[in-house]
Amino acid sequence: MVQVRLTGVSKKYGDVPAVEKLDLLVRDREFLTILGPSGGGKSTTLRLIAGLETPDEGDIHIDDLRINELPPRDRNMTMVFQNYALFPHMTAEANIAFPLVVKHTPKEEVEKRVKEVSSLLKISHLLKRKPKEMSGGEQQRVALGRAIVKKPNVFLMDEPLSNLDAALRTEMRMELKRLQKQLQTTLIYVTHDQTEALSMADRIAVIKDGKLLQIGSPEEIYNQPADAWIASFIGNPPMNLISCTLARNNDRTTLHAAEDCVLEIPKSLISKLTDLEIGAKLKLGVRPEDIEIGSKGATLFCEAEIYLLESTGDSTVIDFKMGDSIVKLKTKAGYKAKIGERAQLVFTGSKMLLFDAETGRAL
Amino acid sequence: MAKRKNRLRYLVLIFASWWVIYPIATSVQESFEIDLGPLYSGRGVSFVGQFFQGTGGLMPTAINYLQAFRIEAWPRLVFNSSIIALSSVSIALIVGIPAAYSFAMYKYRGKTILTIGLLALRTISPFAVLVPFFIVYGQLGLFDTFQGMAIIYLVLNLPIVILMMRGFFKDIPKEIYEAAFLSGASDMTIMRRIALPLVIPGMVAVVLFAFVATWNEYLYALILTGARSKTVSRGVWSGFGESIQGFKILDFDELNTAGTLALIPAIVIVLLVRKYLVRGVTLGAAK
Repeated sequence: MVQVRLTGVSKKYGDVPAVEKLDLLVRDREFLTILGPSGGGKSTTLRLIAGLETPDEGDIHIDDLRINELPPRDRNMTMVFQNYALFPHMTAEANIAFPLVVKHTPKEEVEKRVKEVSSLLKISHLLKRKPKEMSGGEQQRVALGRAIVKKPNVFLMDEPLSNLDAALRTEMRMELKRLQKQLQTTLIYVTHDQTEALSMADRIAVIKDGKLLQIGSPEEIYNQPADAWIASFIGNPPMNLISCTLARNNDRTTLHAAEDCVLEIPKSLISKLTDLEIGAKLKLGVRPEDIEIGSKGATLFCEAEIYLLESTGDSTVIDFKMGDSIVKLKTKAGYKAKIGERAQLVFTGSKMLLFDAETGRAL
Repeated sequence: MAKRKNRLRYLVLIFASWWVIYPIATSVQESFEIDLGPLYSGRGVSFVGQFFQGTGGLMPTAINYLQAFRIEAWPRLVFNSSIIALSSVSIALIVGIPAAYSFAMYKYRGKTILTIGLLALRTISPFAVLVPFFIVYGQLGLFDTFQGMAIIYLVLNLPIVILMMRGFFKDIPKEIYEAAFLSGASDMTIMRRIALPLVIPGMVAVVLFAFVATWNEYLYALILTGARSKTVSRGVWSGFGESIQGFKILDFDELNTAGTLALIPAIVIVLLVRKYLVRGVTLGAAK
């Protein structure tokens, strides 16, 4: 059982807070991804767990052991870095063996483990090479080998795939996930790439400005973002956030998005709005794939002007100009339309989200 | 336009080369000459002022070199200088590398003051401390000894070693240290097995700088050495075979021979470690 628990952890660099009052529970054998923008405190969180930084406040526990002051070498964690941080003067073999050698593991044991790990990672043919004689992907595998050889309690990875090219990155993603399931080891993975987080993680923790905004499964994060910022950070293209005001007319509750766009609120959302006053500022969140073009007599529609067309190969993204804001719509590839045309946008009501315009919290 | 600029460049470079090479060339040439003037003139030895004046010579000749080795003065000087320089540089490395590592890696109280102190040590004029050293060395029995000279040259070598090595250690990406830390290595292991092998090119450059600085040092050697531990740099000036009480006419051929011989070790070392030297000097810049 390896559970990592952060309670009320804060860390400042000078006067700049990097992490503020962070509570985070990493479950046993879980693949947890810490997702957030650059400079948001993700890496600091990871370094705090690794022991490369000491928290100013709060506690870090592994299971029931408080490890605030435990030096990194005694934590039995390993870390994979973005630049791999292989020891340049050692061969791949020596790099992988290093964590065992410094613990005075018997020679036969070291050889056996290095052999196991290198066949697991398919790098047996690289063992005699030095880092500069290997490609980025190969170095990445050696770095992974060095991390898993000593059978740590926790793997820590700080953007390990960022330096790889796109094809290799996709391949390594799946391989990492498979490896983690095979080794049954807790893995904490830091990334700013939402695709990476969504495709690999068991759970995602979204951290911004040193604070934990939401933690949950990729589906939860994608479908029920707790916050307008998360909604706009995740998805490709991200969720549309349409500014609108609440209006009540007799017993109808409507949202005014732009001059010529009045949306009737679906029943599923009405209950969340009962406390709000008329004129309240809201943000309507709709994923680009939940908007359609056409008029099927739907109640939730707006008319808008086509502003831009982007083709991504497997789909077409159409930008509409609605009032002052741009609304993106994702449809199948090869959709024909002209810039400047007007079209009806139909919202698939069940997947609409509402956020408070001021606080950004989901309603 | 470009051609003209190039021509100007060549002129400047030719002048600079001449400026550097001329004294050395003269010295080398003189060392292969012997003045036969006195034999031909029939008027005996002539002087201008108090200086011996030659009127004709023979070149080339190896006589000056044969002389240097026959009376065993030169090998003795080289032996003295080598022992002193090697032991001083070794001590500087043994003490200085861990110090440099700690400066580069750890945060502790007084680090800044220590760094400034080290720099200050380099800036103190040797003239200010020569006399005190002379007196103290006399009292401690270190005057004219190898130990004494090895210790005094730490004043030169320790700051070089510490300040340069600190820079090299700092140039290693911090993730490499962190990866080693998380692998479970102790501080000592990290220094020995990770940091040191990575800074070897730099270390070679440092050793070379320190060695050459020690080899060429003259002032401390002049005051603090006598007949037993006289160094090459002193020998170059005072010639061979001089004893402390002895008196000797200045013989320019002999001085030039000593000067030429003194160049050889430095040239050999630089040629041997040239590859490391370039990498060491540019370490960090070429990342």
